[in-house]
Amino acid sequence: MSIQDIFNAVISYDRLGIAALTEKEITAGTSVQRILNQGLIAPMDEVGRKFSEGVLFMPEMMMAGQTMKEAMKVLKPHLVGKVASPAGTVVIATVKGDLHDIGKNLVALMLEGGGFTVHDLGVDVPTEKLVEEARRTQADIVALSALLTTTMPAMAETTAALKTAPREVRVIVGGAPVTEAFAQKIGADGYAENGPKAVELARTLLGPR
Amino acid sequence: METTQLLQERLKLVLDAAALEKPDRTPVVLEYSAFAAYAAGRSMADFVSSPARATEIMIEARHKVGGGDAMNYGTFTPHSLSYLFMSKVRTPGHELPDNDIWQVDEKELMTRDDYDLIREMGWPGFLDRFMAERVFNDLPEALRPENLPRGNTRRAWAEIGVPVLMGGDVTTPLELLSGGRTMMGFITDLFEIPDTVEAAMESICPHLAKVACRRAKAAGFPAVWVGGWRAAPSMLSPALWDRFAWPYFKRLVEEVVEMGLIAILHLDANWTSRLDRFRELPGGRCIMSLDGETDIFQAKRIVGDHLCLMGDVPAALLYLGEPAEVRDYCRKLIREIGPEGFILQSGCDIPANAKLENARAMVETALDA
Repeated sequence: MSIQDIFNAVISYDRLGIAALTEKEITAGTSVQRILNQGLIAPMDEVGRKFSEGVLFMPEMMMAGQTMKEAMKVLKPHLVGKVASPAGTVVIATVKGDLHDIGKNLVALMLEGGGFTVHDLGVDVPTEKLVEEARRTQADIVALSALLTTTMPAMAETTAALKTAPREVRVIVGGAPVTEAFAQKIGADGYAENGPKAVELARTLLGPR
Repeated sequence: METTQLLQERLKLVLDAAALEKPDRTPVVLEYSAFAAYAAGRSMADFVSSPARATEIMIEARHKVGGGDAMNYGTFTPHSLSYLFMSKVRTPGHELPDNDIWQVDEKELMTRDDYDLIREMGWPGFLDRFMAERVFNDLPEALRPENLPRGNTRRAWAEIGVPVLMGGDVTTPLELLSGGRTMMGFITDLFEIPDTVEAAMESICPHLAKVACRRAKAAGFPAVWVGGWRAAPSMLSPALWDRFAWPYFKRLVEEVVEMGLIAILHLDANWTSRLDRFRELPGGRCIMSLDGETDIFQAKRIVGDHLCLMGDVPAALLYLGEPAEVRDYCRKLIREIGPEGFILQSGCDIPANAKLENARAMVETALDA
């Protein structure tokens, strides 16, 4: 049993087998930090890279992410107080009036796989709830998703509220009708067109930790 | 000009383009649903109250837009989305405020056990039970699809000289199953029980096109819509696309054409990487309708001599742009994608909050060209 087995389980989408592998590795005394970094974050970074290269596609990213999540269920109770600071804290949601979440869920998975602590508020989330959650979690980044042109105004409103809140937070946006130009227009800190780019953007915005 | 003559002339423009002939001018087809409510100053709840009411409001909206040679579809009901996505749809005036847009509420209404059940029951029987027990089960009797006034869509539009192209809609087993299982559930099925999924798809496919085609022909519509969104090659690896998406899409298109109808290939998302495969479809019998994600200029190079292209004024341009920008893009399309085998249209629906002047600009550009 080794961390390489966990790494391989993510890469081969062994969603049903990875929990047992992770348990065994913890029992064997391997540090949870190593399991997280080398067994989960590393393969997710590789998946993200291959997606960006056009080798892997959305289903493979989703399977890798779901496989990683199964391992995280086992790992999480052991993580508190035992790991260095995560890459950052992200609150993510689909904006008010919009129920679409496939892209948002994938971004959340990739961010978690990238070592971020992610608080996913789901869909149809009003501005006030996002502002409050950003405050409550001391979020570094709020990631907003919209799939309808009719909910893009809600994205603009939420961004404005977050950027004028007492505590500074970065805002990144995405979704099918959203563009880099729109992101700039509404004062967001960045636009990401997919999960791996969201991870890259988040890391760029927050710098090394 | 008499409306009958107007109807026939407008339809000829579209049919000539579909057959890859050079029409007298580039036809412009309108595709919208929610936009109709905004344009006509009606509430969204009013718009979805029945298909008959939706038709009335869509006709009002066309007058506001100022023209258009044909309608892609002539009526609308959120229930149609329930059949395409195997999901409940939250609607304005019921679960949503009166002026919110309806939204598909994707939940795992299908389980893994249903793949075998589909084969045991047959798709028609399974679908009837699924829709009654899991999708429309909590609808009041008066709001069930069979109880809503439908009107006569084709006649209503014909009375103002506007042909309606689409007499029915079909989509592939992949779209249906990914809706019913949810995207995440379906993807895990593709990876963990692929043979079971494929067997269910084989069982479903023969039942999809025939009913829609028969109804379209009987009512005198020239086309049936064959839709793909999650089946786009940008969404799936080549291996998954070759096994679970393309063979079924191709089969449905061939069935539609064999029934003597035009297949409107409604392609959401990005299909650029596999445009070459569309040369396998019957030439001069399909309209490839692109939403702005696929590279329409590459489509012209790769399949422009084989299939008519329709589109692709982007939703974001119609919402955020100005009329001059819309006109420039439309002129570019007419110039570079036409004159043969091209129909100007928005990329998918004109979005609900598109500027009316932008929709007008799109129509005017075609009429003035």
